[in-house]
Amino acid sequence: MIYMVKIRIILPTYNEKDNLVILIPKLFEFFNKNKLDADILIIDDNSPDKTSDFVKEIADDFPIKLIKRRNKKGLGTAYVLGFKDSIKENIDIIFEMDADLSHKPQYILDFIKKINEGYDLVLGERKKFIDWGFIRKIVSRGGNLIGKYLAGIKVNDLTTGYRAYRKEVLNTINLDKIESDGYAFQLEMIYKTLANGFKVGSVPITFYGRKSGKSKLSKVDIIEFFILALKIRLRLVDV
Amino acid sequence: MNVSVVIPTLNEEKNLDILLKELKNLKLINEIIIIDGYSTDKTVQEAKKFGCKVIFDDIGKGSALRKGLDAARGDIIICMDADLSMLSNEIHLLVAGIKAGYDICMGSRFIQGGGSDDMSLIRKFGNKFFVFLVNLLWHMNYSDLCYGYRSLKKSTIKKLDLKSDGFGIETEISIKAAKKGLKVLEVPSFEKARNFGKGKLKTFNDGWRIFKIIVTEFLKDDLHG
Repeated sequence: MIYMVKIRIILPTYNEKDNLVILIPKLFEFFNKNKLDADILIIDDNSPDKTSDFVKEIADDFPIKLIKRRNKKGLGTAYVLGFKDSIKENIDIIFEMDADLSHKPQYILDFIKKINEGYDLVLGERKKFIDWGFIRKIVSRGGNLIGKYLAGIKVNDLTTGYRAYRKEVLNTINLDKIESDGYAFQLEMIYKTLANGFKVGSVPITFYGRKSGKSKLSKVDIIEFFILALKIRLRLVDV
Repeated sequence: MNVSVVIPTLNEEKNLDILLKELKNLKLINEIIIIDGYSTDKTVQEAKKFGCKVIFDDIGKGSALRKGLDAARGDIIICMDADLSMLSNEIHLLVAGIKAGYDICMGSRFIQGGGSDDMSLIRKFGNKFFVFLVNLLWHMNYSDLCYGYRSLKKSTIKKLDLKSDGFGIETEISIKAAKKGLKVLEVPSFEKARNFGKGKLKTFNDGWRIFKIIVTEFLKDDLHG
């Protein structure tokens, strides 16, 4: 029998129930159509909209795993928890993805192709933004550009939240030493992947602005991101 | 939760054969109810071949749908057309909407991820106008109105107390859901062009019917304070 690569999508959630109603069936439709061996891990921070009750209900229809945390602990720790669980379950390719429908499932094959070409971490580089205002685009592009030069990392989209890791990367990086959250977490993961000798590549994606719910990232996140970029440049971050 | 699907038909033998195969393959549906308007082709035989429950009604789509909704025993009831314009895979979204705690989940062709292959400019304009009117009168945020791919929680059917006999049934559901403060979620849906056979919608007649429903429901509001 041919070994099927095991894929997992990790979705940290806080009040994303309405979006999950759409995203979960769409993801599994995509998996089935492309004959992928994939599941979804949802890490919910006790959302007031009862996301976790919904996930339990819909887990009858689809292979979904739920980890519920008692309170809002942020994106970074959610992914670290998800990574550890995925290592335990011997998943081959682990995806980070936003639950708010800004990341379309159709790109998943592009990520897998790139990993098969020999890349260890593949980033969804946002080339086009739908439903985002001019200011937000400038802040995102500009922030990434500054971060790139501050940190000295030749990657265009450091903060993208749509990405795929080969399990070897997550096995190698010391996940207990991941300190940051939000945008900075995304940068820290790229830096540590590169610093451990892995190859980072990217695939172009179109980013769809939020349909419902509010974005959870703030100015504090942006500042944390720049500070980390600077620390990377000054070699103050352990790998 | 058990899922029922309710499908009004009139001479849809070719489409029904394909549709029912697709629905069986979903492995999600417990019961399919066909409400047939006395088809002269093999629609009823097709339905029975697949083990569907068949009931008859030749008054109109609204009347047929009401009979189907009354007969359905599932906790979640899906309304769908037989002409293959609706993608059967999207039933998963409609089921998920009810599982998420909503009373009604409506397919919309006009939110991100939705679309239509089957709308003339005049129908598009008419639909937009009616959406605007309903949103204005009942303070809603609907993006679509005259589209029948929807799911309902069993307990909402009584609350809606539907009366329409014709194509206005969708509009009546949308308006009454607003009036009664039901929890409604829209999910994206893509409408394909009909596969075999002829459509039964008459743009102007049915547009007028929908307009009358909107006005009647509005006047009822006024009379009751």
